[in-house]
Amino acid sequence: MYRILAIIQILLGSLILGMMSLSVHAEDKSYVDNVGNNYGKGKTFFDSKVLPKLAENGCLKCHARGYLRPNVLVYEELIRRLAIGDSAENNAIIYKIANIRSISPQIPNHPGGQRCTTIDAEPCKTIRQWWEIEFGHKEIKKIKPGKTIF
Amino acid sequence: MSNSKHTTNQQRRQVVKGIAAATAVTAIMPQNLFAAGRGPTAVVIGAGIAGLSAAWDLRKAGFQVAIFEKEKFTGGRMVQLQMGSLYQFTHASGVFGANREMFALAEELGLKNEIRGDAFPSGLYDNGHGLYDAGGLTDFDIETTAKTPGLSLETIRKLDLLKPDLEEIAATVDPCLLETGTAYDNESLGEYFERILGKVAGREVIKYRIEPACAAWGWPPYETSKIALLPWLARTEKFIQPSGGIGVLTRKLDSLLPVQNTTTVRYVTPADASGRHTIHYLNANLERRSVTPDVVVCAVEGKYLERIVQDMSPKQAALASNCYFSKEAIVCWILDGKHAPKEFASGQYIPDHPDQIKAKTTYWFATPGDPALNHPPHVRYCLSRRHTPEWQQSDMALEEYSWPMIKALYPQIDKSHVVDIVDYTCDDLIYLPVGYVKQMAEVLQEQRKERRGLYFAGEYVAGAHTGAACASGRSVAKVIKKHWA
Repeated sequence: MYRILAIIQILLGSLILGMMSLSVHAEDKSYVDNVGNNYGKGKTFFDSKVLPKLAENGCLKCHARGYLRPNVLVYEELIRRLAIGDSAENNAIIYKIANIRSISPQIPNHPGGQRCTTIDAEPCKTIRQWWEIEFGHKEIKKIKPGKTIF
Repeated sequence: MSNSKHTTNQQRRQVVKGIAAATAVTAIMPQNLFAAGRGPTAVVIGAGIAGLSAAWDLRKAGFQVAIFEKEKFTGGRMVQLQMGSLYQFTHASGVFGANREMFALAEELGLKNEIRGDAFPSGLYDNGHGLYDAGGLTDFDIETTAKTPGLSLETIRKLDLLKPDLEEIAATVDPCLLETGTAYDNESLGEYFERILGKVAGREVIKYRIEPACAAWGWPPYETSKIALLPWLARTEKFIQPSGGIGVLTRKLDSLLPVQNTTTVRYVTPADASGRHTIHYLNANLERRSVTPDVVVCAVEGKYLERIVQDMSPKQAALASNCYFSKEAIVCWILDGKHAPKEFASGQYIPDHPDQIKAKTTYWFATPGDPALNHPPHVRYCLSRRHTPEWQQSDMALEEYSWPMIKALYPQIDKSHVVDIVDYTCDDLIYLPVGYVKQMAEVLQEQRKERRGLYFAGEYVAGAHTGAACASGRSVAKVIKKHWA
């Protein structure tokens, strides 16, 4: 009995040591940091504020049938566009629909045309507020960097 | 006895502790980002053909590679997707015969036959003077061009003047790596044809032969660099429909590489003291993460560069700020089986067509469908690129705006026969205005000089088609391997 337990203990010890050494090996390379999880923070704002503005400004005509990406009714699809970039003004959605840069005024950035006359007009205004909720600096500062594992 | 009981309990506790510790360690082990390998770590951003090609070559060289892709699917512009009842390419429809790197990669992956296929049916053009075969998108056959209805005898006589340049360009410029054509990036297509042939003849050739080819890319001939198109026209190789479908190569690479789909890169920080860049991203669960690999390969669409890459070099910033995309507006009306077209019908027009409806239309077709391709009966309509801004300002859905045109061109269509609508309007391909190829070359020269933490790859530093993107991915992998040797 004792022998069996001792063998199990040795095996477990080896397993743990092995895993720790793997972990240390990975830690040396310091690949991945967890810098926080804000998932779902802006979902309520998206449902109650963003979606109505998108509907009012004609976005659903093309982006709500499920074939033309992104489907703006789906939070998970649109937040991935909002996430591209590093500020409320510099992100893929604002860039697209506010026509911030286009080859000429007659050829808007967005295949469906310019949807905000300026970034202060709707729906850009509400989308910028949404960015602040999801990714704003104040929110980021509250998140402590995670332990480097890899 | 009591001593042995104590020992037993102690050992049991140790066993339990061991299990708990093992569980805890397992719990904090993250998903293994990097595939097996012992070399430097590399994150490739974007699982289009450029990113996949780069990742494939780097992995073979021993790099530990992870690929981040924001979409649920892999393949970028070479993907085929199920859209409603229609299984369809979404961007690229075929590959060019001159795509050397892509064909070599396909052969390496055992897809030699699947990536090859028949020449893409180019269809007949209608320019208001008659129907004619423009000779395919990318080969400028002077004999065929001379048969274009409406072309004056004087213009036909002058066509041979183009031969010397085309022969020289065919011999010196690789259309998949356009930096090889930097010396020719000095005037637009329109300016070039007018200079060689004279204003009248030049304009005729632009209108009847060059504009239809440019329409495939969405390029305005009087803004597009001549070297964007001439290397293709100079070659006689055809545009091919791969027998395995346009997505055959990217599907295979997806099956072999560790692509992390629904992983959205937010931004890439400037290099730290060790020369490495940190990528901030959302993982598939929308959790924020960051990673600092040895090498980042930015193989995104060029339009995202300014959003994603912080603190670009002046040359990179200049390129990124000059990177624009053409827009493609296509809509398909899926018909019920009872009202399937009896036979295939179609039309294809030049942008200056005298008929106002045809001038607004690049092409349309009505097809009985093909069950083998998962194509139901449908009518497809492609709005002329020149008229896309008019639609954009109309505030109408594309099918609504296009309805009067398709109804005029194919009167049999009726709204009561339509069971679904597939709109695949999108950003299409990069513009290559005069000067862009030089900017592209400067960025590539800069990144070839020495080891760095961030490399650019993709059509935005190669050329506007899938073969160029593939060649760019393979080319940057060679540079990285050299730097890290």
